[in-house]
Amino acid sequence: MEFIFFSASLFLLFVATLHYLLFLVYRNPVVPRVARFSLFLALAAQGGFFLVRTLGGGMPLGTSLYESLIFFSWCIVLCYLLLTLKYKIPVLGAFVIPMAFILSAAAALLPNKGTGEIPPALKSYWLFIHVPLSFLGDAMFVLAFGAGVMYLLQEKQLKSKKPGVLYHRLPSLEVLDSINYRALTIGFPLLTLGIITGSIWAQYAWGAYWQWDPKETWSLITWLIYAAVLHGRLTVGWRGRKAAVFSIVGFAAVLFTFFGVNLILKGLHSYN
Amino acid sequence: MNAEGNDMSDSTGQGGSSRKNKGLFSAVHDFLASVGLAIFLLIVLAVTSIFGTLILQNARPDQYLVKYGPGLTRVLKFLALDDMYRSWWFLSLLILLLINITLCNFKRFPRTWKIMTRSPRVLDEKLFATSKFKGSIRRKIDPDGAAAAAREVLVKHYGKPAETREGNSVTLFVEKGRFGRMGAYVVHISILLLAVGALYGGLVGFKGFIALAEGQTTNRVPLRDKAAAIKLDFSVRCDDFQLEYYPGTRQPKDYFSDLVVIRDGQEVLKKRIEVNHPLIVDGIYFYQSSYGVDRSSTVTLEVLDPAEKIAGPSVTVHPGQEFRVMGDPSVYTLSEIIPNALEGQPGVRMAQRQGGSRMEFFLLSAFPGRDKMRGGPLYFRIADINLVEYTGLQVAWDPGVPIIWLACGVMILGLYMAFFVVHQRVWIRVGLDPEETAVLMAGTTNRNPASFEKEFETALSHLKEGLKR
Repeated sequence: MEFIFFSASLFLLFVATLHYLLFLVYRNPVVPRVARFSLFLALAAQGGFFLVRTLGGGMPLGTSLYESLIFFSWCIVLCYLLLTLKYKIPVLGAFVIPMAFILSAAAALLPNKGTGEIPPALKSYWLFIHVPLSFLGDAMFVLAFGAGVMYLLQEKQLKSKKPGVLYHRLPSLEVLDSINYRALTIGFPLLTLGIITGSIWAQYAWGAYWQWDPKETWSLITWLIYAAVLHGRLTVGWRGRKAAVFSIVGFAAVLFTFFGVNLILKGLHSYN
Repeated sequence: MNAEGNDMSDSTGQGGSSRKNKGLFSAVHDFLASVGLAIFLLIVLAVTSIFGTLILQNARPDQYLVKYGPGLTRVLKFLALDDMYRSWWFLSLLILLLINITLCNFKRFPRTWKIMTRSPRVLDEKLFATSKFKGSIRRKIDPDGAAAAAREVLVKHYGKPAETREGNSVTLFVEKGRFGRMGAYVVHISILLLAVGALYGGLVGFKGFIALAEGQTTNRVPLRDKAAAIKLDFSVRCDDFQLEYYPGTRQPKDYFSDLVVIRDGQEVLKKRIEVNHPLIVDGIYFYQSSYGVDRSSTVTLEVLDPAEKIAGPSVTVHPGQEFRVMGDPSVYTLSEIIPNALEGQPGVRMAQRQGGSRMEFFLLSAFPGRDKMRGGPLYFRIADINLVEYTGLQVAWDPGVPIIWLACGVMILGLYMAFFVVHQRVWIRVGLDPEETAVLMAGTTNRNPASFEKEFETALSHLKEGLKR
């Protein structure tokens, strides 16, 4: 059952990715509609996957790399669907949804599918608060990253003498900058909440709200980078390019916090 | 798009034209109070924090020598990179950031306060010209009727307006979300509070670790960071330690300790603690953090010959103990007892030294004949294991924690105010000239101009309709 839900979600994400990428070159209003519809179904299928896992084993969120990847993918799809309710820009999907697909596909390739053996430290209801907040924050940063990349591409198009096909596909710099800002102002409070709830949990589980464990430190590094971007934007008047570049750098820190710490550095969070 | 309204286009205080005339003190002050410094420090802290996650922190000296060699170790020690987050330079950066936050907020606050509390009540020419969102209507209608229509529109879209009459015009003004302007200050106060909480907890509180064997009692807590110990005015005894595994694996599922608190010879509290469920006595937390096999455990080994006959007296040894057996030139060491080695049964790790060579082997309760395969003149079989486990307790008293939680709450509030409370202001001026009534409408917002514009345009069209009636 679990496998069916997961396979369905993977297939649907693949369909959505394909259609969003197709939309870059083939401008037909049906294409993004197919993509969006598949995304809704993928979201539901992934939800079904987590439901089945929860009913079967207990606490499926982020207790193994396999589940983390799928949950991260789910958060990206959710945040994308929510943000595009406001900004109706299907092109953004071509820069964001492939990421959700790759994460899910990576999960499918993992040899260890999470056996349901949860380390004692993770048996707490804080898991259900801390993990979703952190992952949703990260997903917003994926969107900020997508908008940042699009901004740099569009800027390049505008500067070149002969704007290519992308120029007509991508929204204006102003809109891209606005999406980037929106994603940051939602992602940053979510990241903050993720760190705070993690601290509260750590205080109860390990006896210290902060002990410079690699995961803690890397989430702080991410926080500091985004704090710098927001200060640049709100007071010094950084717009566009600088904010876009920093969103990309910040996103690299997000990725390292997620993968690097689990796979390379060892610490309290390396449960896998 | 997220442009501040024109009223917030404040400078950061850098590169003022009158800098030459200022003294050294104010130049330093300007530098310390600048947002540029804040951004610089945030980035420097982010980059330097990386080192501590890559370089071994607070490890034993020999671990550094093995990992980095003597030369690099000396460099790391000199730069305090082996205990980076408490090094003088990292703490200096943090203190500099705190100073920067404090000064920067003091410098900017009066301006923000003015924007927050002293919005212009009259829509004059200059304000109209500089407003980002605006519209004007000229029509021959009764000024009182026009004012009433304007009032109706504002009430419907924004709230109850204040009316100010000046000269031959009346301005209706309404604003909302003023306190959002305080968001950044609230966040910055929360960061100062965090620093206070961390400092207080660090100076007054303590963190220690005790390894308590089953049946043992102690009131002495060795500290984690210093070679010292704290004496508690009560004692803690561990009655039992239990470890459960996921069936068929060596993956721990849960572990508990039954602790008893003893004060003045009386048992005052009993509690079973486990991970995520600490014992709290007088604000001192006892966390279940680890476990292990106590050195007072013993293993009794039978000594057999290859024909499976008892070849000599059994030996009983502690972990770490060396021993010899008759008829075998080797020196054996019982290295480690493994409680759940195979099929839920215990095992031991052994070391054998003969001449210059050293080898390791395992004895398993679940597989008693295994050691024969080692091919020596004699082999061992586990006859009995007297397992004494210890529970690893993290002991902490941190009086700064309530301040930390307060700071976290304040920070969340501040972030909400800063990002989700939008300061919107709308003015409508109605000229009182009966010949031709001029109605001007203007608005500003400090966040999210796109959605403000939408609302503003709708309100403006409602105003136009209202004036037709």
